[in-house]
Amino acid sequence: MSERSRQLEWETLCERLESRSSSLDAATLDRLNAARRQALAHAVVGRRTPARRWVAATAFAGLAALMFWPSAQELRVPPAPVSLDAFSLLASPDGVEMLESLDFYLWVKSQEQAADDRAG
Amino acid sequence: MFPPLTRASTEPTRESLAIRRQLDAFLQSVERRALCMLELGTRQREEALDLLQDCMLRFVKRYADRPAAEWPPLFFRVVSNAMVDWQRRRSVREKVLALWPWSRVSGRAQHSPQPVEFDPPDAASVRPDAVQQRDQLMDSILKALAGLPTRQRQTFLLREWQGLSVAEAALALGISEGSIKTHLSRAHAHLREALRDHV
Repeated sequence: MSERSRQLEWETLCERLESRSSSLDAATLDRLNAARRQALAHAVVGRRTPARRWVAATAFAGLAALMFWPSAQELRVPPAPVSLDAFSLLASPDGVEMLESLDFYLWVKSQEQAADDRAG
Repeated sequence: MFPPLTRASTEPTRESLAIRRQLDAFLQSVERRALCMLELGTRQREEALDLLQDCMLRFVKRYADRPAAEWPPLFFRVVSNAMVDWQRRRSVREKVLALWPWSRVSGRAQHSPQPVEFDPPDAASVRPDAVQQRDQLMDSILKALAGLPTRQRQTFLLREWQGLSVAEAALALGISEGSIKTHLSRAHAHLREALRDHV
């Protein structure tokens, strides 16, 4: 058998396979359709090129920065203003003496409070 | 037409719908041949259908993002891997079953593949002898094709039937181009022997 006739035999064989594959029964075709639909349901959305990934990553980073920016601002609460008078009083020699006798002054204050309560 | 997407965006974009349509058309164009290939390997339609369903799912999950021109060899790569995995699993199962003395007869009877039916000639239609002889010859070659080693059969089908190039077939089967040529040559030799018996 020549090479040409063999090639013809292969072609005939392929035609036979083709007719076999194209004459499927209805139940098999239904199964094929269902399998295809199920597979397509899992198709990935869009083609993600590297450039798009970078754009998506940058957008995400920007969004995250925007989300955290106000809270960071809120964290930087300025401290309550300190009265300069109080500061100078504490720094003076009288202030130091007052701090050393703080227990005494607290006791005096508590006595005054108790006297006020009895009177009132 | 399509169910809602499972990704972050629930609204399918125009691009994703276009890709799905492309994928749908591609799968429709190859599914019957793939089924036939798997059926020649498994010799059971139900098994072949189950395998093909898995193949479609795997292909879409892994390769939907690839350019459409690359789909044919990639799809048949998934199909050929599924076939090899199926044969490996069946081989292991038969070995395990062979360990149990009481399952030797019944186990083999249950798990041995059924011979493929190749649409015997319709008895109702009386055809000339030459045509009948040709049909018988083709049936014999188909049986010989089904009986080829997996790689040889896959190579023959991908090259001669599916029309993939040597490079594409190599990509599909995950082997070198030289191996493709070797497998194809051996497949031809085996099929020629089947032909010789009938000429």
